[in-house]
Amino acid sequence: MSNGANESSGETEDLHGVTRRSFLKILGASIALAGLGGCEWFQGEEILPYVDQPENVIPGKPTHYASTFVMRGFAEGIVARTDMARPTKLEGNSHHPRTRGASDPFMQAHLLSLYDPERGKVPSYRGTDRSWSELEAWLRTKSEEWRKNHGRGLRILTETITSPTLGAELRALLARYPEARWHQYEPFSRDSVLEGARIAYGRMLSPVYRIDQAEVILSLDSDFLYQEIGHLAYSRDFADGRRVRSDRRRMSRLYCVESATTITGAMADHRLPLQASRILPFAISLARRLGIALRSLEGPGSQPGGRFLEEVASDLGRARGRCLVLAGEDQPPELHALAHAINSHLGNLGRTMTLIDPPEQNPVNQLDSLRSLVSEMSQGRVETLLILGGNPVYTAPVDLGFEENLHLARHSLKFGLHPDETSYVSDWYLPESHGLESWGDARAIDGLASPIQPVVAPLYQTRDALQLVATVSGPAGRLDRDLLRGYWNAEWQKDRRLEPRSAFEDFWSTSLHQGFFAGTAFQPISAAIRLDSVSQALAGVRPPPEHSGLELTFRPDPRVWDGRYSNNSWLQELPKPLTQLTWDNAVFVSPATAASLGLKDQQVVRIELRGRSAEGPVLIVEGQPENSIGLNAGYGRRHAGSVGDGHGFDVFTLRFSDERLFAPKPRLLKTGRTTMLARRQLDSRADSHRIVRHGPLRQFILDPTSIVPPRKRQESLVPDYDYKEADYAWGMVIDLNVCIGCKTCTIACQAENNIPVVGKAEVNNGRAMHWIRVDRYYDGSSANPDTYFQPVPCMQCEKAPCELVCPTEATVHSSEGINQMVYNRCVGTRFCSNNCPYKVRRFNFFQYADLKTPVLRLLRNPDVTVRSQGVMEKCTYCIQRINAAKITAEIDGRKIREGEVLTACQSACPTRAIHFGDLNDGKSEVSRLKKEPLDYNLLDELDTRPRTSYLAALKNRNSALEGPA
Amino acid sequence: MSTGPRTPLHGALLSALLGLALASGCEQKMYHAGKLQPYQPDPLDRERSSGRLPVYGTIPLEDFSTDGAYLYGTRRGKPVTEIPVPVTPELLHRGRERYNIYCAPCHDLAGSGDGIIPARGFAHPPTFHSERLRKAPVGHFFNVMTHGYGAMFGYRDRVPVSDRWAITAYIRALQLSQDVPVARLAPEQRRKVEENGT
Repeated sequence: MSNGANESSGETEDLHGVTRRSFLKILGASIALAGLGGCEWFQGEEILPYVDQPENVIPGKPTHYASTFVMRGFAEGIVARTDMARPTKLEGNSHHPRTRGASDPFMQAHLLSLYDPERGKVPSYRGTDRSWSELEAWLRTKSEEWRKNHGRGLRILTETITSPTLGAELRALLARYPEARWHQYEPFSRDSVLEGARIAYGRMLSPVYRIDQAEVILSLDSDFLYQEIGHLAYSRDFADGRRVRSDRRRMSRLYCVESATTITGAMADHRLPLQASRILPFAISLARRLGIALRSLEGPGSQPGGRFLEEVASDLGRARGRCLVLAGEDQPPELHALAHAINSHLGNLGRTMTLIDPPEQNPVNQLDSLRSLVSEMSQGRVETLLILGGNPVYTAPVDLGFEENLHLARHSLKFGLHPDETSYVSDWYLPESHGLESWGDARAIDGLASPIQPVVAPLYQTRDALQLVATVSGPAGRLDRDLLRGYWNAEWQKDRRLEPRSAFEDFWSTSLHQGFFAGTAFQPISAAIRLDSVSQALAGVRPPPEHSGLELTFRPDPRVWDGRYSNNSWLQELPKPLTQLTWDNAVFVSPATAASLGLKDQQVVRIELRGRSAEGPVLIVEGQPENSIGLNAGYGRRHAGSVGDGHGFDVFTLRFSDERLFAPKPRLLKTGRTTMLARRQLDSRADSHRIVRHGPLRQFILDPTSIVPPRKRQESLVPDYDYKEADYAWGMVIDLNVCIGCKTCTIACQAENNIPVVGKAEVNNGRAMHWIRVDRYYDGSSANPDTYFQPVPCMQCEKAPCELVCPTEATVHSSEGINQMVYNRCVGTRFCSNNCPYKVRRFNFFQYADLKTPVLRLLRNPDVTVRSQGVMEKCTYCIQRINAAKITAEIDGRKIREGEVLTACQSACPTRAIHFGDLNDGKSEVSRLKKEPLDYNLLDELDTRPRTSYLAALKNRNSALEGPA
Repeated sequence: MSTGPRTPLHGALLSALLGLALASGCEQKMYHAGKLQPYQPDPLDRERSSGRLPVYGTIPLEDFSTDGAYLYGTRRGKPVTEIPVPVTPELLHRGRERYNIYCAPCHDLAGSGDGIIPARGFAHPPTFHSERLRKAPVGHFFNVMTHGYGAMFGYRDRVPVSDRWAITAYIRALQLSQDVPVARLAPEQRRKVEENGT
């Protein structure tokens, strides 16, 4: 049996004198004999090499490209790993000034959507396949018409667009056909942000936050750590303000008032759950308490918030110029205007936040834009509607009747990655190239433009948005890349801020290489707050009565958003941050509300609102505001594809245009039915086993060693091994104080290590395959608990309980301290998993990995084995990355440098909570962190000597708010 | 090792395993399936290689420079005359190592074109020690390495740009080694030459 060191250090004999080596000899011989009988393995394999091998493509070695990931129109920098010129993994671009190497689940799952077997592959007209040339022929006759009637009846509907080149092309099209119109709609838009600024400053402006400069932060329903645009930079900055070490004993303080349970609320030092409609009254009281001179502000009689509000106000007042108030996208414009007034009053403008022109091309109120489009359609004034992305038939407010009116347009064309509800009722469906197959550009939240360069040639007969608009507007034959180059050449000649010294070719190639156009971020604008306009907007606001009854809130789903990622199984199976729910949405209610209404988990209820209804299962969520019913959109899809269809229920059927953020007085009826919800983890309390260690910052400042008890060492059955003699001793430290629980690590690991999805039923059986899970623990009252997150990969125990019980030595220890799996030795006894106290081993109960769908073979990391049924698997510290770095280092005749190996979870983490490195190097970051007083081992009493350890979480409490609230 | 009777056990084991192997069809699932190895057929089109071509005009992170002279060996359409990187002893060592791997089989270790491949009947490459090639600009050698010349095919897929310049520098050193005026030799070397009478 393994001695805790390298496997098979000596030949061991069994009782009958057959050594392992001679056993293998016999095995080899028997296979050779079997081969004579026609074994598949020995059939020939085809090898199709390049005729002329391109530069920068080395078989077996990856090449990397910087490009841009666009979500909701906004840019984040990515780096794509490519093998033989196809992408196999995405990371955040560490050179991109906004992204700084961070990533989120959407970015990681972007890769899977490229290889989605159900993507649109060819254009179709009313369900039959057509070619692009047939579309072009049709467009030629149309453009003759449009030239004569100036494009009357031509309407274009897009989602949010920040792409300067696409914006310029659309404007050129409108200039060519002056009576054509461009409309925009997304169900979860930035309308409130832009309209709020219009109230406060007289025009649409976009705030950019400097979270790292803020010592006191108040979030008013703003999930700036996960949901809001720009959240990657915000969460990185937030974490940088909270990395507590023995020599840095301070951190920022976050207050959160929210109408749902979000990541930002979970990270808050003090959190106040409120119904969505009560947050604006709270903010008005706060503004009054801060002494803001809002004329005509009689204000509400009863103050929501009480002592919480008093303390927030005095804390903010003490930190003038070093604090920040953020308003959420899912709150009305008035709250944003008020937040501007408060920030301006506290002197934060120019310090913890700046204002810039909106990075959007043609920023509009998207709800108004869609309304006017529908009204034109209903009057029969829309002849041709070109839907450039988005799925309005599914997402449009229910009272507008988008689908019925769409039939009044004579021609409708839907352009998008997938066929969907909208393409189902449109004439033409035009397949869109995936972002990784496209040329283009987009702006980040601060206006910085980034180029999108394709990392793979289109897999199917698809076109990108630039190419499509060029096709529609003509003249024909202009290529997407030339349009992009042409736009930036003109910009470069106009704007000498962009690399004035060099030639355009240098500017262009440098920008593509680094993944952004340097010098294109917008300059901050100084604007004077218009308090009278803010007062006027707030004049009608009255607090809802004390007992106003139930309220519905509509939010995008944290995984499938508004349904745009419904067919992405990685996102579907990634547990939602707080509820740990997979594959479904639910009716979220607080424990007290559930008790008063007599509701239980998984009971199907019927929600009625203004004559419409929807049915969904109840999920009781700790920390959900009382009498608030949380609904996440994006489910109940009818034409999403085989992954997305049939999960959850559609909440857009309850969303009216005048109450699209929250709606009062819904009726809740029990149906008497129940259904199954698959949750990755059931409710767990932090206080029971000291699994998550945490404490108040104040206690840490007084005595840093008081939070984590000293380690105990016991006698071990496993003999000692001196890892100091090895070249490396790998170890990991996870900082729970900055882990925001977004689970990007989980999905990044899934992409890197070819981890299969198992489906809803198997998740419910506890068989999800994620190698790193993120546990969520509650502490305190169930009405408003403290929340802690804990990512759990394999602990890589030095005294590993799993190794002792494996009968086939399929799990063995390396000399560098990694507990390794030898897949082809595993016979599936599952003894190891049973003996693992951390429950981090995953077993392939069935053939989970899809070996049949051809296109999925392109997706998988060629450096990692795809496991088959009956095999145990688990985290390996990304051994393939360690070995790749080892090869490079050995060629150069040196050791692996600090930071040269990043595990997939580590490099994906937006807050840099995961640290990995060589424990034999006393100067490495991970060695230093292991000496921190907050460092602790999970289940230390078992003395398994894990290589993965944690830094305890801290809360920066306001002492005036402690004790029973 | 035990010296006890082993044959019966071995025999039993062998037949058991043989039966197992035949019965199960000995599928090598985790060897074969699920992912692509280099040069396998494209799963979307079995007639084509899964090895794709990078999209025209894209720029990878690896081996990047804005210096056209460095990347392409030309300036304003003409081969460059100066090596666009600093020529150091390390560069020459690297160049010798790469030259001996990639070039010497045809061009031979001294660069006169009598390598092992032409010795077996393949077309002889020209010697580097001709007047024409001594006068050729360095960009010429770089371009030949990149795109090939005559019977020689391009090496750009195997020899990265930085190594191509290292080899270019080493070819210049080889040319010098065969064409030094005696007056420029160090006294000791000159004495050796004069003693040998060549």
